[in-house]
Amino acid sequence: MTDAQVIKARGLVVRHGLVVAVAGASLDLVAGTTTGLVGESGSGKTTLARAIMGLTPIKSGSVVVDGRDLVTMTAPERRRWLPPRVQMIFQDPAASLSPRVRIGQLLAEPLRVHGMLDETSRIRQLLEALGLPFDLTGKYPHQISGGQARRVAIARALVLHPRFLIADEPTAGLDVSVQGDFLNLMSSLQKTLGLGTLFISHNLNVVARTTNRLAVMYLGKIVEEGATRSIFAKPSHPYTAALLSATSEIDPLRRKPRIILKGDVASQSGPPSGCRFHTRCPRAMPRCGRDAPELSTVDAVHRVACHFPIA
Amino acid sequence: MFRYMLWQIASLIAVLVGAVAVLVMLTDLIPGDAASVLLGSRATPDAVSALRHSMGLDLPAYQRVARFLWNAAQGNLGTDAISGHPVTGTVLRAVPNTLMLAFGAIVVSIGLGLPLGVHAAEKPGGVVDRCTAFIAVGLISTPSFVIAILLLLVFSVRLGWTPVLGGGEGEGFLSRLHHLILPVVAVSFGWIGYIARQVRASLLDVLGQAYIRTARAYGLSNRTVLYKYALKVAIIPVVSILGVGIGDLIGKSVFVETIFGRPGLGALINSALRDRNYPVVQAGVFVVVVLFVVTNAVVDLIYAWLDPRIRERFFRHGDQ
Amino acid sequence: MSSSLKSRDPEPAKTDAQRSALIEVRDLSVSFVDKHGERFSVLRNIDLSLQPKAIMGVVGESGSGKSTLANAMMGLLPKNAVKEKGDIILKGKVVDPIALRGRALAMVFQDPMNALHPVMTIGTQMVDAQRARFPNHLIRELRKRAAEMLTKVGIADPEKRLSCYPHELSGGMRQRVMIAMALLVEPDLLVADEPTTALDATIEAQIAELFRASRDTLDGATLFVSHSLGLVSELCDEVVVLYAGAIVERADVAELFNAPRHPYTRALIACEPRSDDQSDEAMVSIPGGLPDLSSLPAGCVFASRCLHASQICRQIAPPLVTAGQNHLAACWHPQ
Repeated sequence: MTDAQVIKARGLVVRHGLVVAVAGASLDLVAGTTTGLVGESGSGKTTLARAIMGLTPIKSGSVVVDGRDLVTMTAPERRRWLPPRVQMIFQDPAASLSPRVRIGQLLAEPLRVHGMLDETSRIRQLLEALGLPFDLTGKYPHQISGGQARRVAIARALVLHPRFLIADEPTAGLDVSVQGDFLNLMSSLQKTLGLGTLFISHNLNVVARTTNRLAVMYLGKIVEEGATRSIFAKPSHPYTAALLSATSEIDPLRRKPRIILKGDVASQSGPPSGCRFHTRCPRAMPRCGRDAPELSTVDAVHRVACHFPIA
Repeated sequence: MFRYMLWQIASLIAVLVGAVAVLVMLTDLIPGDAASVLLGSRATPDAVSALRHSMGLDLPAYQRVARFLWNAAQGNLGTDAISGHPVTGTVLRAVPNTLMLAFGAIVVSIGLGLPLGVHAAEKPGGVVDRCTAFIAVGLISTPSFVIAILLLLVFSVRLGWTPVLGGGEGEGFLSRLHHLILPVVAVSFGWIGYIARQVRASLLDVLGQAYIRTARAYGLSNRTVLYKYALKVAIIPVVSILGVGIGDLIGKSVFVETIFGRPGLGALINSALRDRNYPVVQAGVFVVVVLFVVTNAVVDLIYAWLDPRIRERFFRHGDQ
Repeated sequence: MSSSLKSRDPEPAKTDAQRSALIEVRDLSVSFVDKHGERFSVLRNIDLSLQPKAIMGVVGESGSGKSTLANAMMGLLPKNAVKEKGDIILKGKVVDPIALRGRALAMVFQDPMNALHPVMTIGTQMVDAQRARFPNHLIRELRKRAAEMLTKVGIADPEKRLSCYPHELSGGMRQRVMIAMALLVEPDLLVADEPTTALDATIEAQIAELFRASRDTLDGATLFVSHSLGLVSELCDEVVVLYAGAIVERADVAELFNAPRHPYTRALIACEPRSDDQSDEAMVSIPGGLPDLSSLPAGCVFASRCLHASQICRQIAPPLVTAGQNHLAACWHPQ
């Protein structure tokens, strides 16, 4: 694997004041695969993504993008280095389109900034791949439909041909009747462009359908990580198991017995000692309150941070 | 809470030091040496330098600032350059008159502005709503001394309902109140409309909030919803506006006092300025600044008392 | 819209359930008027009946009118809403929901962050919420009831919590407080509008569990509005499917999910991604969008997106008719 095909985050720590939002997380993004990132409020999943995008200061650790560590770069260097390599789309991507700029300009702007030529043919290709008509370029964001605006936001993220795309809750607020359409588009783009995607979502069923790999975060730490299929089939971490059991299923035959966790996610500013999940864990032992477990191998495609993983 | 108090006191002191520094600097900037101006053109150089020394004008600015603050902390605001009496007594005698006016204006502004604003919010587009809008827009921008002179002409000179000059010193409480009516109206006139508008705007905003819907969903009466649930939150931004506005109120009081001949700080500073009696000017302005800073601190406390979310921020250790 | 009214069956089909209902909605239509005076038909000819202790699920996507239905039943319609016609019937009598708020009716909202008053303590709010229902009780008694109910909804140390402000509680806790508040009123109808949507997955599971358990405490009916088919299928006894302001299907929960008759219901179920489905096939979606609610089509509201739509579907709106045991569907070509 060449440097260009991977983003390696190692031991990332991000602090916001006294709050440690990400407390030492390591994650690989590989071109051509989709990695899901799940976790509840306060898990640090969005902060982790923002750190990879250079959008939030990193306290310690490293993020190596195409062979260079973001931490060692200056801000202007990062602004030149990252956009052609990693892009991000946000919740309600359509809202991120500036209302006073025509779609054409919106798409050409990044190309010009990064000195890329033949704008028009690139934009034409991209719009075609997204199933958008070329005459959209003459319109303003308010003149197009919500669905089109969502696609335009993706087009803008992809116009520099990045290898990696970070999608933070891209389907939040979408009705299920149109969600499938959007996800199909994402997966076809991922295949044709060989994108490495980080897909952050709270909808586990969507994550199961759309990702190859999965990382589960709890209170700033990755507690389980591996092949999506393997984790959904046999979660090792008690938190993952509870999270998976919490998703509702229409089909009664498919319903798993629900594991109801006690209490709320503990405070980020004063996380519990030892394993951060032990205060809510149905399997907790005295040791869990003392030692913090490290990620260790379950099998070739699956790692878990738990002293007493589910066998 | 301790942290909060500490912060309050620190910023209080910083503002005071800054204000005194500006005051001292201003004395320097005034054309002509203060001492020679005071003594007149025929004073001997010896007399001028003696006065300079006794006024501390020969010291560098920072020492004068420190000296003033040190003396002020001990209750000594300087010596009257003309009479030779301590200034402190003169200034302190003027303070109650100004305070009565400023607080009278605050009470009237809130006492009338708040119910008018509530009423305007209850019936947007109604008569009260339009009247307060007119008062707010039309009168907040009219200088209070213009209103003062108009009121004086109409009510005191023409109708003779109210006294023309003075603060009713040495007379009974009722007479003092009587003297207070027109100045208070002059100062608070624009503020009544302004507060009414602010109350209306923030009340309309609050009435659209989810927790108001919750209150309604549980069958609470309109009165309870409005006065207990909505006003509690709507009042918060109004208090913060008041914090900013107190400077304006005190400033206006000083102006209006001069017009009505009330023996308050305004009249004192004004006449001292005419006499080039700088120690009195300095002391008077210093007391105005102290009043301003203290009332602001009180407003901050009220603010924290009204909103537990803000209180929390001060109680706990700046978490986020 | 008028044509769809004329074409409707004047006597709506009655199920067994309707005859022994605790609370009913009869032929309810609601419109919104925008600032240009244009009318949008948000709910049309809604008939519902709820049984004591039963949970009725209302599902639908944005624009289906499900939240408007919830608010209409509480008398909480926004100012720009116009109730065109229809009645709320409690125990056989036509009632004004506004007069029953906090007595026979109580509600739990979507966003627990904003549904509680930010500068009043939980205790004060829980006491106030009971005032309409128990006007003669002392505050001390109401506070005691509140503390007991907090324990029942799984909040430890209730006395301490009563003197907390909402921002001192987590989102899940606040929703528990809201549910406790609703249960304190002992309502005939508890309306829950997307009560778990703003919550995290593990907290959502806790709250769903609480609703299930609330049947022990609550003798009234529950109207549970949600966009989550999974949650509704697990929690509710009966389900109503709304599309563009009309009921397209209504049935017992097992029947609705096992044998959906309306093409929209079927499509909606097919769209729901399943965790054990990791095939590479494209995911299902429903092409097209909602009809213009200001000028509704003459025929079926779903016709423009329906794979089975025929001539009649585009001309005449299908009435809601019996399509099985305790099962109604509004479709000319039920599946």
